[in-house]
Amino acid sequence: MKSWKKAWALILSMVMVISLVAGCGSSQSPTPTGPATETPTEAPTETPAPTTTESTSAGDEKITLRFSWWGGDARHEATLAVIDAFMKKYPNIKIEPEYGAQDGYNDKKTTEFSTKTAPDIFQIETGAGPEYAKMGVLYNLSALKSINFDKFDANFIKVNGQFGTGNQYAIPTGVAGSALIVNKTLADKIGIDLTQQYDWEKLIEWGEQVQAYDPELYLLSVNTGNGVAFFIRTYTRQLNGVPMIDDAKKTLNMTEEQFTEIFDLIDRLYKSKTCAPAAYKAPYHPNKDQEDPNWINGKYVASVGYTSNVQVLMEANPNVEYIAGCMPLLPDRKSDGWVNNCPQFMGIYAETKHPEEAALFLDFFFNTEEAAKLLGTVRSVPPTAFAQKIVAEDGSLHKMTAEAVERSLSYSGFDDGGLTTSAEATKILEEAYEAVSYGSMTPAEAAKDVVEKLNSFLATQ
Amino acid sequence: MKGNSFSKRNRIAYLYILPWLIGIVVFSVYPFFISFYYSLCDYNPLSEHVFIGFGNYVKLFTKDPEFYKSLKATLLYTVYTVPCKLLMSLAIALMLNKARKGIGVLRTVYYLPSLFGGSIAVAVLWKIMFIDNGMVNGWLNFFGIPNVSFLGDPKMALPTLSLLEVWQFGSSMVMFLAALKQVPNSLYESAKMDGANSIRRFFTITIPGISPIIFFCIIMQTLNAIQNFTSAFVVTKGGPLQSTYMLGVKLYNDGFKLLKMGYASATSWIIFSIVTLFTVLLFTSSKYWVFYNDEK
Repeated sequence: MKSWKKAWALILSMVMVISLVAGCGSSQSPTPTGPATETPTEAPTETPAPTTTESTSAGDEKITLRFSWWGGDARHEATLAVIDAFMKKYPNIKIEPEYGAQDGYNDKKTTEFSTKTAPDIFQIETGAGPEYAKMGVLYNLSALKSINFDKFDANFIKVNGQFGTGNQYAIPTGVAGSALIVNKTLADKIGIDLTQQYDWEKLIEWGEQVQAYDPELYLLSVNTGNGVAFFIRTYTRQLNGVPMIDDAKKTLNMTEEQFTEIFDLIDRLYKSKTCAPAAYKAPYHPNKDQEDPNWINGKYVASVGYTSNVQVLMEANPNVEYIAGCMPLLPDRKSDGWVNNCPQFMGIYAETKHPEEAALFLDFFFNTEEAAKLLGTVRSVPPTAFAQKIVAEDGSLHKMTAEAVERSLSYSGFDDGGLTTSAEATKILEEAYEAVSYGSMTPAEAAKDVVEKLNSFLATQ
Repeated sequence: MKGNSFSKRNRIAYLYILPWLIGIVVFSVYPFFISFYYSLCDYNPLSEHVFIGFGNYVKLFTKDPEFYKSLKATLLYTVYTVPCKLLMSLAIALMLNKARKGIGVLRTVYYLPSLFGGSIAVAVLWKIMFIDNGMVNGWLNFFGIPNVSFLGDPKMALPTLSLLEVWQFGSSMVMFLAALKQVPNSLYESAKMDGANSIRRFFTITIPGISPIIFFCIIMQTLNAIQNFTSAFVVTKGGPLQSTYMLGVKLYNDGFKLLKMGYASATSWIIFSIVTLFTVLLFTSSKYWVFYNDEK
């Protein structure tokens, strides 16, 4: 009896253990979102082809498209309103919205790509755009007749969404860039003027000034996620005028000495308490200072982030005055380094069965007055001049967001893209940044570690 | 019936369990075996997989210092949570085993945390409570104790996550409560008459009497601890400085962020091996300390 019981218990334990391993490795199981919806009619479905020409939008065929994005409540409401407006105009096309927070969005997309269950239309993180294009999961929008890009600035759309291919694979959702959102009320009290151009060393001088004024205050609020973009990648572009990684040669454009120089700056930024302590910032998400009580209580002079965050940061502490500050530059730089691009892209899934209908929706989304009015600035300053005019006239263009974009555009930066912003390179840089900010690695050790790991990563590409 | 093993009655029974059977084959058994095959491949889900033998395992053990950090974090988490949760649930069960007014309400209250399970909501709540400006530091400050960086200090993050697991002791507590009820009162009375004090009665009657449940709880809690993912992912993302980068989080990051599914599968098989080893060790040792009522 005893041994019988034990045998059963062992078997049951093993079944539970199996369920652990079963969770990994299979790309065959469907994701909770289910497969791409098919047309309920007998009409033959189209396979992705650059020459697709038959739009069924005006016909009777009922088509369902899935559209996913991330964002806050304001963005969700505006996007849903655009979807409703589109479905009223094209009653034969149904758009199924799939929306949520940004956390885990990218991971979900890559899983959907691997199971071929990605939505027909989806928002794309700026850094992930080139990687998606390389994976072949984006439809070539230049081959679709249902969307035109006449309203976009030709150079802007070429730089944002073509990924060096000459074809449009994604559409920028707005104009955005790096930003230093300054609590001007606090900066004035301490005597710091962030409207004048300055260099990286000045940050530390100001940081010490802030600490001398009140040890509970910090010049900068930054954490590992945006610190990598703000300090490491930008400094790299200023040093060399090129991204960190040469995608064509699969080699590093940076030397170990240059990495040491960057990590030394980061080390001094934290040791001087110019940046809020890494241990304090660790639990907070990057670009979400609105959730940090220190920001809400006005304990940071400036928040490191992006122009798309301006409005929400201001709303978190509406009792003070804000400005978009200048951003640091190396005196003998090869490039300004600061990024002017877009907050996100929109793209169409390469495996969609209805590319023309998906393009028709994006055309409505970007090129109609109705959509421009509904969307306002929920994805930063709109990407087209006509939509910018609409939001300026109806007063929905947030003044500070516009100022921050203008400030960002005053720098002649460029976006890294490619291997430099790939998930693995980013992870390597984040680990090193965190180690230096915690003081668990010296700048030289971090530089050596980063060079070794990046070279090891590049060897597999 | 008369020995006809596939009678109509049996066929109907099989039909009833067919949905479960299909589920376990499709969602557990097949992925279980295919994941072993993938663990022997260089497998990016967006491209063809290439068979590389034990290359992923060799890389994990010889070229991936992150693996050892993850292993250490996982084992430490197991060591922190299993004994603490066991002691906590047993202590509360002993307390709730006594008949008193309102005991039903008390039992429900103590079980409540377990109703939430390992949910995202609880993990988010934990994060909000333990951040530097959170409620726990607010209490500490009230008593004049300075702030503790529960989630930002690499030495504190893992114990803080362990506390979340220990807090959800309700299921084990209910099992202990049921087991305590099964220990015959006559044994306690006899021991009392023989002069055994309460501590002696606890160690010589209570513990042996509930040893099968202790054994079951140790197995279950060890399995859960080694597989932990949710709290480490939601509360700390594996940080700071990878102090909570448990194997489950590493597996997820390798598989779903870096798209190294073969490598992640190898990690999952190592987790499986560890769990199997623990289970076998526990079963082997059980003959020395687990007592069943029907034993002769």
